[in-house]
Formats: sequence, C-alpha cells, structure tokens
Amino acid sequence: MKAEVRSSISLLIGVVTLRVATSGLMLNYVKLGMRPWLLASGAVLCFLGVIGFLRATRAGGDHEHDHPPSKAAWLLILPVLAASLMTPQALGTFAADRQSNVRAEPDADWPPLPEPTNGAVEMGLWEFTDRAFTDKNRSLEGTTVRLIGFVSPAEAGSDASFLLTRFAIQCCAADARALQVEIHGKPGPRAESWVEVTGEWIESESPDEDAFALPALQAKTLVPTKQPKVPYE
Amino acid sequence: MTAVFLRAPLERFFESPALRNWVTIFLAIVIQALPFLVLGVVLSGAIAALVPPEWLARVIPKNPALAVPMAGLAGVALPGCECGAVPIAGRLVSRGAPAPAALAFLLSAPAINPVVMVATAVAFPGKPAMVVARFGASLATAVIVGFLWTKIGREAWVERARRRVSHGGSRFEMFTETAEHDFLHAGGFLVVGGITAAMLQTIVPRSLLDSVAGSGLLAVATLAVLAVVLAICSEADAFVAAGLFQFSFTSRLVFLVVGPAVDVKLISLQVGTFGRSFALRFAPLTFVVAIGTSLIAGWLLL
Repeated sequence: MKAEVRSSISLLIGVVTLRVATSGLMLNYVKLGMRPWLLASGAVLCFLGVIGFLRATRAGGDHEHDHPPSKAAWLLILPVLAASLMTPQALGTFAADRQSNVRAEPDADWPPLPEPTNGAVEMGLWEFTDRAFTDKNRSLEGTTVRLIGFVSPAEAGSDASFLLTRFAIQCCAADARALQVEIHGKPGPRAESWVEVTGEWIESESPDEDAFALPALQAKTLVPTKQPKVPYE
Repeated sequence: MTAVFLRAPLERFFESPALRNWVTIFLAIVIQALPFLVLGVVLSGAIAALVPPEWLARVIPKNPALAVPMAGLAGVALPGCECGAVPIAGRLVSRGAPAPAALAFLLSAPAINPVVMVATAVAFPGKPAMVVARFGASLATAVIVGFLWTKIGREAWVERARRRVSHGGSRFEMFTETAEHDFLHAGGFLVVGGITAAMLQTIVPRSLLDSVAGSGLLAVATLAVLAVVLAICSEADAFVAAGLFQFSFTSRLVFLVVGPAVDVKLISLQVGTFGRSFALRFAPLTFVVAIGTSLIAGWLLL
C-alpha cells in the first residue's frame, strides 16, 4: 500500500471522527462524555495523516523504509462506509425484543418524588422502572408521571397496547440495556416512533409470581414526539 | 463518489433490522475504542522515538521472578481500554522487553488502572470486596500468565512483534510514522473485532442468560464466554456486571476479570500485533487462568 494512500486513510478516519463528534451523530453510539476524547483523537489522526501525506509526496513516492502496515488497514474503510451508506440510528425494537428483564427485590428507600410540572412528574424510564420494582415506600402510587420513549410492540397475548422503550447505556451502544414499560389504555402508534406518555403506575397484584414482568402504566395522554438528541439514558 | 450513487439502492438492501442493529453496535464499539487506540499508538510512537533499542532489555531485571510482577504492577499507570495496551506491549517487545514482562503488562494495564477500579467501586456500592477481588484476580492473572510464558512461551511466537522495524530519521519522524503505522495496523484488526462482537450480540438473544443464571458452574462458564463475546471496554464492564443481578457475585467477578484479558476485540488486535500462532496460544491460556484466579478470589473474598 502506497504511503499516500495510507495517510489518506488516516486523514479520512480523523475527519470522520471529528464530524461524528461535533454533530449529534455520536450520541447514537456512545455517551456525550466521549466528545472531548473523540475530538482529540480525531485531531491527532488528521495531524498524522497530513504529515504522512506530505512526507510521502515530498519523498517522490519512493520510500525504502516502506513497511506497509498490512492489508488490514483497508478494513478501516468499513466503518466509514457503514456510517455513510446507512442512516445512523440508535438501537431500536430489534435489540429491545431480545432483552431479558429480571427484577430485584423491593428493599430500596427512594426519596419522595419532585413536584409535577404541567400536571405530571417528569421521569426517566430508568427511574420509573427502578421505583416500580424496588421502592418500598411506593412513591409512584397515585401520582401521574410523564415518560418518553419509543414504541415497541407488546408481547403476543399480553393485554398491554405497546411497550414504551428506551435504552440505557453505560459505555456505548454495545452494552445497551432496554428499559421497557407496558402501556395500557391508549393504542400504540407505529413501532419505532417516539412518544411522550403521561399516566399512573399500575401496581402488580401478584408481584412475586412473575419475575420477568415489566412495570405497567395506565396512560392518560399520549403525544408523538421527536427522538431526543440523546436517545439513550 | 460511488458511495453517494449507490446509496439509494443499497439503503433498501440495508433495511433489515438485524443488519441495522449489527451496524449500530459495530460502530459503537469502534467509536468507543478509537480514542483509546489513538492514545495507545501515540504512546507506542513515543516509545519508538524515545526509547533506544535494547534499553529495555538492559533495564528490566533478567530474573523473571522480579520482571513479571514489576511489569504487572506497572499496568496501574496506564488508564484506558485494552485497545491501547496492545500496540504498546508490541512496541515494548520490539524494543527488547522480555516477552513475559510485556505480556504481563498487556494483561494488567486494562484491568487494574485507577479508572477501572473507581468504576468498579461506583458500580458495586456497598461491596468494596468486589474492587479488591478484581484487582487481585486481574493482577494475579497477569503475573501467572507471565510466569507461565517464561516456561512455555517460545520466542518464535512473538517474532512478528520483535521483527517490527522502526522507521529511521529524526525523532519526530519516527514518532509520527510509528504512531500512524500502528494505528492503521491495529485499527484494521479493531474493525474485525468490532464486526464479530456486534454479530454475536445481534445473533444471540440476551434472554438466553436467564436460563443459566442460577446454576453454579454453568453460570460461571456462561459469563466467562459472554465476557469474551461482548467485548466491552474495561471502564464500563463493571456497570454491565452490576446489572446482571440474577448472577452470583463470583460469576460476575469472572466476567470482570476475563473481559479485559481476553475478548473478541483483543484477540483480533493480538493477531495483528503478535501473529496468529501467538493468539492461538495466548487467548485460551489467559482465559483459563483468568477464570481460575477469579474463582479463587471469589471464594476467598465474596
């Protein structure tokens, strides 16, 4: 592989990294905190690419010290191709359907809920799910909450209209965990579309029987909304 | 250019949700790993430019009983993902470091650095034994594998890294050329690792885990294999392990010790830097030792 081509690849990866980091694209894959790291490494790669390219052209294309880094370097084109050929998207129903949901014991002491805004308490799916399962103070009882997520089809045979879903990530999309809440009472719009739902928690009558049951919400209002800039919790 | 023209028909082809899932996870792994890989190759370039050849061979104690533990402990100094450690270890070997020491460093750096320890403490509040167990088991894995390598390791297997030549010229030239070279080389293999890990994640449903959670040895084996397959960065695997609360603490410790030592991404990077015959021996060896040390640590501490 000629030196100019190699350095072009480095430069390309650097530029793409910078683009992914400065636009909102990165949020489909990794957490916001990665931005400075991605910017720094993108800059380094651009630097190395430019220097390498200039060096190669100045040497006139004949480099005795040319030890090519092996054909594997071509593979770096793949992520660039993938990112440009496919509209970037966050994880969706496909991944959500393959999750496992197991509950922990209700033994946590949750603080009381904050004040409602516009008639409902805003809450992330993580907090809702966790409070529903583990809060021994049952702070969700009788309160209207507002949740945001995307629509996932409910399991066959369940009496829920749909599953409100959002992914929580620790590191990057590779470790994503689906948070799901059964929504009752309002029909679900198209799968994968994002909605904002307000409603009240439906307490499970026999919590011990089904370790895999999802928390449930009786919906009062349902409003379509756009995918948030940060799709993951 | 071609990409722009082909986009419309190809987009239809790429509508499949499984494929999109695969790509999303693949890109996530690559994007997440990239900064750490760049850090690793920058350091690797610095080593190539600033450390005279054979200096390491002189400075590191000849006696493996000293060299291996020293190198293992040195891993504390390199915060970051395992992706960065591989090019550095390869460069150390090319600079004359004895293989067992470099490999001990390779294994310990991703697992016992402060970032990982803090992450583990945060992910398991109220269970500080987990942090101690992880540190101990990972360091033990690094040192044991290093020692075993002095017995059974053959120079031929790290030949490829040994043979790596640095480019001549000024220090700046050597630094930039080595860093770029290492990046392109390791980056390609990172892509392979990412594709494989994403494919495995897309194909194997997580719900498979639930059926094995309770059953002792099977749970341990499952999480060990999962650690290899998921290829999660060592900074974050503590939180993933914390979420697997249907599994015992010991089996989760196995997940945390095996992950930074051997996973699909790492194996691919090692093939690139050290060669296939290296990876073929090193990966299974590390896998077995990591399970062993974490089981013992779990039994003692958890």
